[in-house]
Amino acid sequence: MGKRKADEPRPEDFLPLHRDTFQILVALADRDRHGYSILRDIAERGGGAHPIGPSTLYSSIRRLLESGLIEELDERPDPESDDERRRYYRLTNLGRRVAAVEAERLQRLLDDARAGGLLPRRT
Amino acid sequence: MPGPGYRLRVYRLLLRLYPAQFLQEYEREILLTFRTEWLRESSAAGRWFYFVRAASAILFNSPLEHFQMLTHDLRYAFRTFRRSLPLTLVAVATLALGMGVNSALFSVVKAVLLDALPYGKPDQLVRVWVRNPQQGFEHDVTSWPRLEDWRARSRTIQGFAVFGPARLILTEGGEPAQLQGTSVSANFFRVMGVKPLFGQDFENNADQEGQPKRIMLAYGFWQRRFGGDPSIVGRQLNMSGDTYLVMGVTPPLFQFPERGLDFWTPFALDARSRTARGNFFLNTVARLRDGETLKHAQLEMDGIAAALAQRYPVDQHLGVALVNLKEDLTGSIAPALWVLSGAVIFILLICCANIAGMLLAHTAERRQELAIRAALGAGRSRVVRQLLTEAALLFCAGGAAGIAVAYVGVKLLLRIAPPELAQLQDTHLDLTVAAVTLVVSAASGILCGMRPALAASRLDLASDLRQGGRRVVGRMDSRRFRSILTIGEMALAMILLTGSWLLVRSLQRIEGVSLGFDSRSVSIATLLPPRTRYKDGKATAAFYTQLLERLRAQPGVEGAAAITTFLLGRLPDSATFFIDGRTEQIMTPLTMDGVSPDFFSVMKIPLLRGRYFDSSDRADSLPVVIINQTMARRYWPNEDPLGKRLTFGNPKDAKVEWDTVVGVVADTERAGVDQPVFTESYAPLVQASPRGVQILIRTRQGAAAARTSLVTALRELDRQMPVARFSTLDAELGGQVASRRFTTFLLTLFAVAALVIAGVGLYGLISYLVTLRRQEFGVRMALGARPVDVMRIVMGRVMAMAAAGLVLGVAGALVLTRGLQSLLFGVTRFDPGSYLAAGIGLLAVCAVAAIPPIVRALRSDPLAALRAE
Repeated sequence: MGKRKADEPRPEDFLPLHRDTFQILVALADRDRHGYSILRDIAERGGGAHPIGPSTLYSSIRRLLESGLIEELDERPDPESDDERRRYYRLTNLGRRVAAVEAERLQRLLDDARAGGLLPRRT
Repeated sequence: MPGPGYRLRVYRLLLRLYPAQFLQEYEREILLTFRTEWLRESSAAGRWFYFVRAASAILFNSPLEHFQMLTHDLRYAFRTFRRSLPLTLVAVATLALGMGVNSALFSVVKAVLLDALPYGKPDQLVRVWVRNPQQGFEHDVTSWPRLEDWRARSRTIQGFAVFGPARLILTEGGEPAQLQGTSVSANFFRVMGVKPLFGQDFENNADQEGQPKRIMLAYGFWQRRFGGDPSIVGRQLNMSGDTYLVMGVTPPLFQFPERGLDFWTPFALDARSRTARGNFFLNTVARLRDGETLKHAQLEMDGIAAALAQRYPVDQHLGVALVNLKEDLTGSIAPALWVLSGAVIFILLICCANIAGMLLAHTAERRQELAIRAALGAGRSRVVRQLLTEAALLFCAGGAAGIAVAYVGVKLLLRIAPPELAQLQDTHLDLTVAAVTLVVSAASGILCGMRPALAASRLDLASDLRQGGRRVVGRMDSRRFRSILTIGEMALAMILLTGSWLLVRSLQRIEGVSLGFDSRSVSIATLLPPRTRYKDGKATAAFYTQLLERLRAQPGVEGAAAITTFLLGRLPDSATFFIDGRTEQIMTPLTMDGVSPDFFSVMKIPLLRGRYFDSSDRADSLPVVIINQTMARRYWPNEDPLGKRLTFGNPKDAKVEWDTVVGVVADTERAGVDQPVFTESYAPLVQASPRGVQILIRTRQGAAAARTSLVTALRELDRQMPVARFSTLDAELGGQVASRRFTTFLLTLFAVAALVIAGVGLYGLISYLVTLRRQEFGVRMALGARPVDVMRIVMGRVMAMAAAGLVLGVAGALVLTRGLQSLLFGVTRFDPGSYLAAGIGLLAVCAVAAIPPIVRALRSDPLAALRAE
């Protein structure tokens, strides 16, 4: 599924990531999740500021699958608590690297904002 | 807690906007998520808000999803095409050709036959022809007195305008140039419904005697000669010894009565031309009053013609025919254009059939790949969508390339089109036509792509994967479908070949008709001595006599002669006349040409009785004429015409000049072989003293040498004399059949194109069938079959299909050549020779198309075949 070998793209090629895309990658960073779990994670972390609709979520998931940043799991890690209709997704190595370089990019941006006096300096 | 109910149903309905494959994959989870989130909202308002947000996200996202799928499919399609580059190139080239010729020809058809004329209220415009059924002229010109009668009596027609050819020599600025133009009545532009681009129209009395000369310049000429300088209006130009006041410039689209004219100027007619009822020389165009119909106007004109017939003997057998101007202009070419349109539609059909066949084979070869994709979860709709995208892409590429071909095609058509197609001048690739072509290309792409796509979606996964798709590809129905397509192509090609062969034979017949003179190695040039330096007929005649003497003295010149107008058009200058001793005026117009004494010997026109002109025929000697055989037979069937006298004047006039017949020459086809022979008369140049003449030079050293001789001779006599239309007589004669040649050339071109494309189609099909049966051939040869047996199998198949195509084609041609009827000359549409020739052509192309696949079949390796078994 979407594995790339010799011609594997560099993570930088994907930058900058769309907000929704980055949110999904972040949601999958600590553990594998199904779609609804991703949605909840985003909603909770964003405090409801940028909720993502169901159809938008799955459009993004499809694109991430296609570009090889996430993959679908065959097994279900948490069979007790979920619905059998839910499918689970995991970050691929590429996806993890892409999310990391995007995070670094945002970090640099924040640092610049701080240096410019837009944010309080860290002590 | 109650569920989302109808809102879920609405949401679900909206989800249909997504591509089917996406829904197949995610619909359940999306709905589940929607429901769960909806239930999480505690307030009714919150739920509404959630619903609206989620629903609008669909509207925003679904087009994006489609777009991404399309780009994905397109990328995939490009990869597929790159993998099978030769097939793709042949397909695109085939399409480009089919659509190119279609767009090009239909641009022309639209411009000529369908678009309205670029004049105000063009439907009101009619050509007014004199009908002269007794002499077999349905469309004859008229005379000034008759025009005035029409003007005075008609109530249904608001204006009659007349016109006729005119030539002027422009001596200002640079080389003297001979200009081609039209003399018109003062109301000409108002009747035509055309206003000058700038400047003023002619005044109402501009065509009266004694008025100062006026001229209207054609847009093209104004651009060429005066660089589009607008200050030209109001300037005086010196032309042919007179000064002409430039009134204005016509709009670029105005090209009436023919293409490439330089000017329009009001008639300057002398009293005789205004009063001679029998002097037929005016072309008439008229405009109906608002609300009047052609039918009503025709009725009225019939009545007027009958009244005039009662009153004037000249009008006794004359009628009037009104013809819608557009029909009149296109009447001669319309049948040819419709035939050519049919031909290009055939070509498009052949192309589409070819492409459909190729796509079918292409899909069949990819069954294994498609089966794998299906196994990996691409649904039927996904595969169909992919294949349709490929087909549509192919057809769009073909369509785009076709528009490029059409662009060039229109330019080429304009270059070879006969000059009488005035409307062609500004024909360009019509954007509507091009758009329609693109739509047709995409639609036929979808249609042709549909069948292979449906066939592919009926995949038997297990067997396709197992067998690598090799066995199943040649399923009976797809093979039969391709065979039917190919047979259809051959039938269409056969019809076109037969039609073009019939036209080629007609052209041969026409060109084979003896013209009655020897046109080989004769050059022709037109001279028009300006009135300033050559005041009268005596001066011009003296000039011509000297010129011919000098020409004859030039090295290599075998003979030189002069005649007023050598090639007669449809309606040559002619007049009614009287024969001495007979009371009634003869209404069949008699042509009158002035010729130099050795004209007949230079042109090798045989003398039947009497004598040629010689040096004893002087301006002051007895007026004499030589007549042609048709004239002699018609008026002196049982008598000797020699010594008889005739006159174009009025015999009651005491000073009337009688011309004595001194010779009878054989008939010639000067008017064109598909025209009747006129009654003709020739007078000695010194007695007829025309202003302009055509010089005929016979030399075996070629046209360039003839031209040099003429220029040398002219330089000695008059350096300022412009020469117009230097050409060879054969080229000018070619002009008489230009329209026929145009049609024949194009139809032949189309037929050959159709044959080649059908040949490519057959080649593709046979290659495909051979590939399918290669193993079988190998086995056969391993078991002792000789190469000739294998060849017989393949060739048998080819010939069976060719025979089917041939039979269908002959049947089609028998019906469809009816449309060609009016274009044939000297052959019937059932001409067996043409059918035979077309049939042989078709079979030959089939045989050639079958050779490469047969060679491949013969190379089938028996051992490899057995190993595979």
